[in-house]
Amino acid sequence: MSLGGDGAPVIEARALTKVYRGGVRALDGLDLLVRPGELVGFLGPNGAGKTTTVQLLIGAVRPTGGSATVLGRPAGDRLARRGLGYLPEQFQFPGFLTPPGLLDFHGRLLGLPRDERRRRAAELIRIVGLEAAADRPLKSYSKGMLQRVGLAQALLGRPALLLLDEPTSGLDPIGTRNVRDLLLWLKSQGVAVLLNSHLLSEVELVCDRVAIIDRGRVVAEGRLGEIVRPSTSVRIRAADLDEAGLAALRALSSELVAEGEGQWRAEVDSPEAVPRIAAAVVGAGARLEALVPAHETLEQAFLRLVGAAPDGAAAAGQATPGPRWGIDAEARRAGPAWGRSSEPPA
Amino acid sequence: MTTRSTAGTVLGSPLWLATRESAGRLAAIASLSAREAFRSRSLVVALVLNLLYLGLLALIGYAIANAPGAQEAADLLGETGARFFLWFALGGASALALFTGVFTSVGSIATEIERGTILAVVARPIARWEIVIGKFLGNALIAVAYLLVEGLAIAAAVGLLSGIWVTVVPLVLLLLSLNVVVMVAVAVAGSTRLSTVANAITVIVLYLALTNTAILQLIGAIVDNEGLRLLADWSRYLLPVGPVSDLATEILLGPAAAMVGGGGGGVPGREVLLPMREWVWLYELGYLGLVIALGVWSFSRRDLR
Repeated sequence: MSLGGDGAPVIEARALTKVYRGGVRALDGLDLLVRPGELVGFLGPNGAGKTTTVQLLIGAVRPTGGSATVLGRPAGDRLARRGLGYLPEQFQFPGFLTPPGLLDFHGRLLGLPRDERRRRAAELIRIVGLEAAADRPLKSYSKGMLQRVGLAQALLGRPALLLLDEPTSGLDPIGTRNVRDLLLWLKSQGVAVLLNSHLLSEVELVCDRVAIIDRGRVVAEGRLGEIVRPSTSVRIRAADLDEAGLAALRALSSELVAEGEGQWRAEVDSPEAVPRIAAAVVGAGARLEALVPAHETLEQAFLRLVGAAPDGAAAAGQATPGPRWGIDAEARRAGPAWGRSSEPPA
Repeated sequence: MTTRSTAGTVLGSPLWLATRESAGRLAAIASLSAREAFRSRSLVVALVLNLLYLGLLALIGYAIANAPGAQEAADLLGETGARFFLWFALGGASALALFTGVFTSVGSIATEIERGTILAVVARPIARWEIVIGKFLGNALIAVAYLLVEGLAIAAAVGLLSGIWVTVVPLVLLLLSLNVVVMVAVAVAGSTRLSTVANAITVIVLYLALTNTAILQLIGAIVDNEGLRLLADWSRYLLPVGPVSDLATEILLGPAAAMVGGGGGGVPGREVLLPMREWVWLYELGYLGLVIALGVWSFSRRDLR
């Protein structure tokens, strides 16, 4: 049996509809496609239907219309769940368990033999950096530590598809960066990920594609470049730019606004105008110090698409991926130990 | 050779593998549920009450043994006296085990849904019926173990102190355990639909209403209304814990059961006693299966949110 390994979509939802008792329409004809190995950001305002979608995919709730398949099987099918890893937004568990105990429980539900359960639990605890606290009961853990345990349980079955609901919730910046690093590594291993997150900057950094959902429907879907509007504004910093040079810039732009000493903002028709601006500055004998096309951020695109008023704040700056929890430099290059085995995920 | 090859074929068959995996998942859910029940406040409260109850029993035993004419009474009553003491002691232990089982089970599934802990579980390749039965087994195991350990300890104490060993005690404990198991099943089934508090109230009200129909029987006898008598008699079978308790009393006390209302729903005097049917334990077994099936059906049909 193939579980998403033959190029078929790992998630395919068509006209998915869910109306709860009382008439609350959580999903209203949602279409969603995730291919093997893709990292897809699933974004939407609160109440848009993100959680309902994920709960439908794991079989916790049933659709009232449309259809959904997971790993080539109907959503909720037991065989599909075998190849699935899931991290709920609020990962809860009995507080008296230790991480190895919790992973052992989930390993038993997955039907893993005892030795395999122990081996994988030890590896995952190392990967999420909880070795030092592994003997402590979960009730003594911080929220960030619990989130790491949740990630470990989601990865336990070596899933072909990961459904992550706010995986960085409760994590500090280092933890957030480590999750991002882990996601990129999972992607390199061919694991498909549906990432439900409010941290748009994170989604922007790691996702291949983005699906934006509002009022139970996908309102925009595609690669980041297809979602955000093309650049129409260019920031220029140049020294010794004379009037002739400025005239050349005015000729290339619909509007040229001075923003300070040696700094201008030019409104252009298309991104193709950017190299022509560079040529005009250099051609005028000026020293071009910076030429920055002002892209629409994912956050701005998101706010535009869901009809919210943008506040002008841009997404957070790009952080450099850092070390993975508990993985040394060499292991980082090769990925976590269980990923280096010849056995493919799931 | 053929036998070995047949066994190998069976053990390697998809059905066998699926059964073994299913058993593994059931055991995982059951053992976690048992551990949760073992650590629950309900069990702590039950243990405290139990200690108080055992202390009370010891006091009663001491008072009886030191009362004037106790030796003459013991000689006269013989084994009947020991049986009466056991009836009293096991009845209390059974009630404590039953309520412990109910209180650890009423939120077994509802709480998991309310907290969202169920989501990580249902995302695994587990069937809904495995969750319900696993929860039932885990909670039932703790409550029954509680009853059996205490019941056998009481019987042993009575045997050692009086020299009288009542041989029907294991059978009585088996029937009382069946009652505990049924109440746990009712509580688990209820928790697939109701909130923890609503389920607790429903189960307790049902228990009190359907195990005390003797009052209705008494009224029926007084006003000579056959309809009330029939209602009192047969409504008990909506939750057959009462009739099975009566059967246990009958087995433990024999003909003397009528003195304490055994075999009659707690009303002294044969003319107003509810009829006792020996097949009721078999009926309760079927009832248990039905309740579990209803719980599985209910849980399989609901959204977990």
